[in-house]
Amino acid sequence: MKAALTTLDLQKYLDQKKKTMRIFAHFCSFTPEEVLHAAGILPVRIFGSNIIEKASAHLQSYCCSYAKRVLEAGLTNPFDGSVFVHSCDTMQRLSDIWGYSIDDGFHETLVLPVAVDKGIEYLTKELNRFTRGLEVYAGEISDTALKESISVYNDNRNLLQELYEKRKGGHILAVVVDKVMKASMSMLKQEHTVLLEEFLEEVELGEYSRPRLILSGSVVEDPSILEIIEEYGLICYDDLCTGSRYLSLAEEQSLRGIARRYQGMWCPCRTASAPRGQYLVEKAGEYDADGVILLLHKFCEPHLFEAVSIRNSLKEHGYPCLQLELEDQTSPEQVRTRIQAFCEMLEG
Amino acid sequence: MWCGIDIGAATAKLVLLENTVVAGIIIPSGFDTVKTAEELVEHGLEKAGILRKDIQCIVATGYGRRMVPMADRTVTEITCHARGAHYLDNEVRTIIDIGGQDSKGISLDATGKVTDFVMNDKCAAGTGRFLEVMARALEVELGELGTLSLKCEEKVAISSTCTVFAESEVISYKNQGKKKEDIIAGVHEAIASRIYAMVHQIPIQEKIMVTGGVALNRGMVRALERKMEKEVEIPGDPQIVGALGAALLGRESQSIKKGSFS
Repeated sequence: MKAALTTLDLQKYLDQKKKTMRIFAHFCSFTPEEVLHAAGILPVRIFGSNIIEKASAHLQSYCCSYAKRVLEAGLTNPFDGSVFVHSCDTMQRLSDIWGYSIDDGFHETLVLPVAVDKGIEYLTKELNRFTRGLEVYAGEISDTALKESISVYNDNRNLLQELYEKRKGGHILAVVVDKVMKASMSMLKQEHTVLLEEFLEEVELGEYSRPRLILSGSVVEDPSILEIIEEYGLICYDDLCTGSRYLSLAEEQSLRGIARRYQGMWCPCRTASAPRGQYLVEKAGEYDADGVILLLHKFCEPHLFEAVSIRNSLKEHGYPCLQLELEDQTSPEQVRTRIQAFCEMLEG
Repeated sequence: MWCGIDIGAATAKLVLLENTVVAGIIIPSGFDTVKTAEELVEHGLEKAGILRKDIQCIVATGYGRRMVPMADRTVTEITCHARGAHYLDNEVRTIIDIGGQDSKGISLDATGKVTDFVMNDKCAAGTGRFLEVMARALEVELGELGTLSLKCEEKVAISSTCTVFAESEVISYKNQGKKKEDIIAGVHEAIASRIYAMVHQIPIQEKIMVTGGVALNRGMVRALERKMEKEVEIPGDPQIVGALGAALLGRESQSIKKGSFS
């Protein structure tokens, strides 16, 4: 029997949820989903589609495909509210554009400190400002409700960590991990947890084979790239917004706890290149990887600025690195050639 | 006998290998890759005077590699070019392959294994297609570009890296009365600059071999040498290096263990 999570029709699920809950769009791993959950709102991470028609009228050609996709989604089907995070400059300006072109009931931008690890006090205050603002829209969010929600999120993330732990021993298809992670970012947390428990019991690990790859980047909107990569090698770990960046836990059940949780996210928007390179080297060792694929969006400043430094760190430690810079329309055969050649190189 | 088939964006190549190259065939890729591959094999058999059953293994490479029905396995042109170049000269450490649709820089070690590579992004600047477009705009045959550019007196500067914009630049120069030779030299310079910018992301170690159809253009190769301040080597038939590598890989995999490669 296949676990329900792997066959879930997420869109259908959300269409049902829309009838009973207010749905807020969010776009970033730094979104305080726990606060929205405590307010009885369903936070849904938006990925959009590759058909861009309306968004082109608002965005310049140098914006990343993720920005175009999510704006298109908002312009096509408005949500009850939206929460942006000033992770990169594109997302900050996108928040402005969203604000004046889409009429949703609640619109807020969380402003992060430059270095998350040094700005916990500030970030706690910012989360407090956000929460008080949300209360005006949604009513009081009690400390008890917040604690309860943080605990619901921790339970889910504990299980997601278990999923990643399993990847060390055998293979789980990257498209399956992608589906589980994206469902977690969009479903009502406690409902996802039930399905995730079932999934973890039923998942059968594939053969442990080589080459083993780490996939690093931001958002993987379209999972077909994962299938192409896995025709030639196995993705054993990821460093993605749609993956491991979501795993860290809040150790304190408070806004401060949420702020501290962000320290474990290793996002290039808020982490310097050198520690990020070191982080990937450590993960490559931990997951017994043979090489790293940097899957980057064209025009993505935070990831592209660090790319040379990351590649050099990895090479210094003996991990070959392939940089793929993609836009939605990139010719798949060119990409396939690079991936296949990279795996041939790793196989020697 | 071992066979390598390289279906590129512009041309399709076949090499038949025994102890040495028995036959090398080049035809246009066409639209129907399956038909092109069949045609290649037919020509090859005829030229070598052998039968289909005499071929022990067929390895397909190039863009169309997955569309070659008779192939026993597929290998990318990156690995194949490295293998082919290493066979032709085992001192080669860097390959610059300029094909019809893309250009690549490949680093290889003393055993012919790829250690790193770069490939141009999706646009056609820095590829054979760029030259085709410019040849058409200048009303010269593709094959004449090299010789003409060597007669250049004062080359023009092409600043655009986009093929479409560069074509309009070329047309502007034409309408300013610039000489064809000077414009062609400018076009070569622009491509060389583009390729150099890409290739120096990997270590450019000597010897350097230039492969692919564009290597036949002497003016282009000279421009590249000037840009890198290094001499390059051009094999006797630069277009078939990928197909040669494919045939070699077929021969090697069978001598290790038959069918051990997927």
